[in-house]
Amino acid sequence: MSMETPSGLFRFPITKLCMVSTGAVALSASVANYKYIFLARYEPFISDYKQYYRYFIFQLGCANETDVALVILLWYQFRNLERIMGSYKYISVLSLALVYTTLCLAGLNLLLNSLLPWKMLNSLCTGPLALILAMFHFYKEYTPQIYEFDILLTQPWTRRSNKKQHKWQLNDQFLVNALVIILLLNQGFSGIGCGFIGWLCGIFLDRGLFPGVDRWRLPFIERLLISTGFNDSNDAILDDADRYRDIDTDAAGGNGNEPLSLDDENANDEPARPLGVQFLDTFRR
Amino acid sequence: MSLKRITKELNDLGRDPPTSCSAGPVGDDIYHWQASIMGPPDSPYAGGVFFLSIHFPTDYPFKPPKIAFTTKIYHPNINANGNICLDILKDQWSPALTISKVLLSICSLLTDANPDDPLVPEIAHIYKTDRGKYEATAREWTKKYAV
Amino acid sequence: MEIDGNTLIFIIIILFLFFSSPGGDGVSSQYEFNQLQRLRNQWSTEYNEFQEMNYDSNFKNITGLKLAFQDIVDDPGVNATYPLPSKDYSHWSQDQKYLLLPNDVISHVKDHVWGTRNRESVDIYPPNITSTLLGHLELVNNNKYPRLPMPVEKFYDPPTEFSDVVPPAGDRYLDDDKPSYGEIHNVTFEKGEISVQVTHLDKVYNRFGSGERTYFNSQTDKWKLLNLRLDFSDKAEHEKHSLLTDAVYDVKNGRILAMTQSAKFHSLFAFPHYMNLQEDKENKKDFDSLKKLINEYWNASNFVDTLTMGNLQDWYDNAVYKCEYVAFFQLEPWNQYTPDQLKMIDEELNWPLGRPANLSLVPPVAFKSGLLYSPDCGLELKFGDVEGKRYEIQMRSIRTHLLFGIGLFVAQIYLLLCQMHHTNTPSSVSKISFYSFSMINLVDGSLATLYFIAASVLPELYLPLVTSSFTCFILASIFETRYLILVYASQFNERNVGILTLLRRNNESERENAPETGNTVIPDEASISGTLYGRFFFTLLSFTLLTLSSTSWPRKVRMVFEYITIFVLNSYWLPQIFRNAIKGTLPRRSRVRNEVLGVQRQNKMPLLWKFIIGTTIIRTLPVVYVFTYSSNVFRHHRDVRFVVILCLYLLFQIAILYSQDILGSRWFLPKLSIPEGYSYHKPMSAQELMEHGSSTNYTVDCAICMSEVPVYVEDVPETHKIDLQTYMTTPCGHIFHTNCLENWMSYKLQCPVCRSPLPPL
Repeated sequence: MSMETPSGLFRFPITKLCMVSTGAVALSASVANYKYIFLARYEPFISDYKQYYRYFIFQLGCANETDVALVILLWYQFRNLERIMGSYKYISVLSLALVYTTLCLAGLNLLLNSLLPWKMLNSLCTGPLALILAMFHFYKEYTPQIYEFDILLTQPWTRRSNKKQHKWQLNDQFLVNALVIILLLNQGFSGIGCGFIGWLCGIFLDRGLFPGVDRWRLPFIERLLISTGFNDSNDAILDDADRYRDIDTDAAGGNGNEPLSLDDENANDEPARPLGVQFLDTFRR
Repeated sequence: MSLKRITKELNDLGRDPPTSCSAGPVGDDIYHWQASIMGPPDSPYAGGVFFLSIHFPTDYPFKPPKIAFTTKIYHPNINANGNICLDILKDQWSPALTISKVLLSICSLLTDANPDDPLVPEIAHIYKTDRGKYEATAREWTKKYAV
Repeated sequence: MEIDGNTLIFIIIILFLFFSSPGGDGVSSQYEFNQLQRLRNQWSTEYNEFQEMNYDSNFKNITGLKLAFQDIVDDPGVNATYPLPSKDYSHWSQDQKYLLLPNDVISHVKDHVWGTRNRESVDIYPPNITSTLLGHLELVNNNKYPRLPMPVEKFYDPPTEFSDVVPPAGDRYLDDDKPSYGEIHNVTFEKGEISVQVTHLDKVYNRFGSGERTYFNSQTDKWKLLNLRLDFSDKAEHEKHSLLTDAVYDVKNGRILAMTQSAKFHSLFAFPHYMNLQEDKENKKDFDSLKKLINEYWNASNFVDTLTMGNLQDWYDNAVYKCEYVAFFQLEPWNQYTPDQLKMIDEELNWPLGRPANLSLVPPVAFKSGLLYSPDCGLELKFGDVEGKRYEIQMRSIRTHLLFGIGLFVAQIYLLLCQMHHTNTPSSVSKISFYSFSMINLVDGSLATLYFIAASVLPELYLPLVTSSFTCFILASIFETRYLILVYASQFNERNVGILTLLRRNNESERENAPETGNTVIPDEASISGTLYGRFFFTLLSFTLLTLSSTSWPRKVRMVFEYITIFVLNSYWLPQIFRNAIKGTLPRRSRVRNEVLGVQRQNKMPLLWKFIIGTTIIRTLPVVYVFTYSSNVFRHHRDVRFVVILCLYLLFQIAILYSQDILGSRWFLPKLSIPEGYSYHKPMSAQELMEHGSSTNYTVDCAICMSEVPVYVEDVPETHKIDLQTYMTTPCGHIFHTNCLENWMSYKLQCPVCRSPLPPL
């Protein structure tokens, strides 16, 4: 198994789901002007309006466009995790992390604000920041570092070693690190606080302080994953061309009067021309 | 269907081979052929032997075969990968066409290039502006790759 | 209104245009400069006079207020001059002696519109009433009261000579004897409809500063300044009146006073007095605080300095072409709310955060009663129960409807994709009616354009409107037009053939046609798409423009146009029924039998039932909503009968399609007129076979599979055991195996040998 992840999202159903839903939720919320339901603040939403539901949904949507972009990029980077864990475990860990971070953040928010006289952590950071940070722990823990490189800061052209050289040592994960840091800083102090709690949740989850990672799996999903064409083994995929060729030779050997059943879509391995090609042809001139 | 027809074409080619062309399957796979074309004597490709690979789609003859030169050739309608720009191999395909007819068409394409619908615009430009240079280069390439 | 990026860009463009125009105030000649100078002087002097006024002093030299109603009663020929010798300038009371209004009107306002102040139970009125209210209007009388003369200063007039520099002095009376003015300055209908558009004027743009908005009102809990747009017309919309007025809203008592402003009526200075039509010990206080409001407005807006030629011309036009009105409205109280709740509702509407305000229960803004009086035209109009939703609530409900619409578009795209998948061969596409889909396409295309236009008009709904427009555009211009191109291409070889020939095409006529059609070249899809897209956009634009212009037509014409258009555009299945009849499909029973027997025919119905039913529902739902739901967001009138007729009409079309599916598509045509279409399965004569170079054993080589086709030859009895269904003869005379040719025809309707077009199966 090579260390390089394949490009694109082929056979990354959960990563794809996360990326698409992040974008779709953000887009539809802003078209419908319902972005505000993802805001979670102790005052006034919980203290005055008793809107506890906000605790359960604030991680599902992003409030601003930069967050959406960053989160989508991070999900894409985390596809290595899905590759390492396998989709089924990945989605189980994801949902566990979501539950634990939500509980932790909501609990802390409730406790701190109702017990202490001053308002600490009044507003929770909208968007899946805590979840991302929890997964970030898993990413750092389980994704092997492939390469590292130095950036020489002073006099990169001289190779003399008697002068002390300033250099940055970066590895292939620096992009993820950078994205996470930008995401953390993007929402100020509440972002850093929420992110830190999320990261702790990730560590606890990994070390077994929060139980479930080893044994618990999301029910019903496995069947769905298989039926949508997800398959863990790379070799099981038949070469399409070969398969259809076999069918074709069989048909040729048969009786000439046998109905070819043109109406049946399954009989032809592809329609007369695939729809995508047809659309492209429309604009080809 | 496709197997029957390809076998038939193979038999016909064996019985009545076209001049200056030949074709036949590579190994056991009847869907993968190799063909050769002798450079037409009245063209700069004279004296060369050009090899082509032919892949039949499973729904042959309703879809055109995929034909490409494996020998390098200097021609405005054939690019470095050997792909051929010929209408009957694309949207003007008809199931009444056979491999031998297609190979003959390719032969005539070698004699009369179609610089108005080029695959390699640079060669087409030279073909149109400096016929002598084009022929010299084509001859040189033929000598280099196809003899 | 909140300021957002779009508004900002708009403002910047406007500012740019403003500063690049000749002088910020629109002055382009010496004459105009002097005109504006005179206007500013006039307002300045009147403002100074206003400053000296108090509750007990009468109006003095203020335009439009020089006379009171009593003056014209005393002396019908009186001129509006200051000072009038016999007039009392040092007192003021709620009487026609000091007001423009006759005593009847004053008492009507006192008793029926505004009512008396009730000190015991305090009514609660919404602080923000931005909305559009609709209701019915009634004319009380249009000739009972004498018309008050209101002169216009002569400097307003445009220059009579090009070389004029100094505008004339003095004033002139508008000539009501001119028939055109007489008509404009009168209301002739008894009953009509009124719409009141209310916007708040809490802040003014300081044009000469940095373009910032200034909040000037320091007494927002007591007074609000409003802009009203009053439109009233008779039911048939033959006579339309439209006024723009400033208004003062008394938040504590729910009273609104609106007065028009023009060259003959400077109503701004009259508000403090006219708001005090009730005798009350609070009057003096009210007068002073209202005067403060006017002063604040005056200073914040920099009133005199920001006057432009635009103001001058508007006021002049209003003075000449419109009556002046003084209007009184009484708001319905919202007693079910506490002031805190009202504040929360207001905040939630302005900055939605999900506060528990329950916006769906918020009652409409309603005027309980209202009275319009025109002093210079002697008109009195009244209305009761005019109501409308808060503007923001209206916008929210439109947004919900738009989202629902987007859902419908997506469903339509899905259905169309199913349909395209269903007909994926040229033969099956050729059974689709081009015109059915053109109609569907036209509606979707114009919807996309209308949405787009609406997006530029309603900045609040920019995002959902643009999303709707985009989805609709994708549907119309990519999916539907794409399908139309396929249909067009597959039917190209029928272009020059008449309908009758198509319908009764038989072997003979086909053979005659063959040489002609043999030469037609089927153009490639690129050129077809070029022509079709051209046509698509042209029809689209013309239809959209027609629809847009129809909104300004009189009601009757508009309704006739609307009904006819809806009816025509909803006959989208008729062309398909026609097409089915032309192409001729077998009854369902024999199709099933054929399938069982294994006889190959392209024998499915061209349209999926899912597509037919789905499309009909998607397209009828909005019409049903608009015509049956009386408080629909488009303010369309209710007409259930029309909807029922329309639905029956659509059901009728679907019923015919269904009967064609069951009974065969030509069941309603007499048997005689409908011979079979072109038959690919026919016997040959020996001579014909010889022409095709047949060998002696009466077989032909099939060019597709390159094996022999045994042919049924009429003259040779031993060939008669051959089944005609096993081979096909094209119109150009070439013979293939049935399997081979049908297979090829699912790719292209073109003869493999000679490339002449083939009739679809």
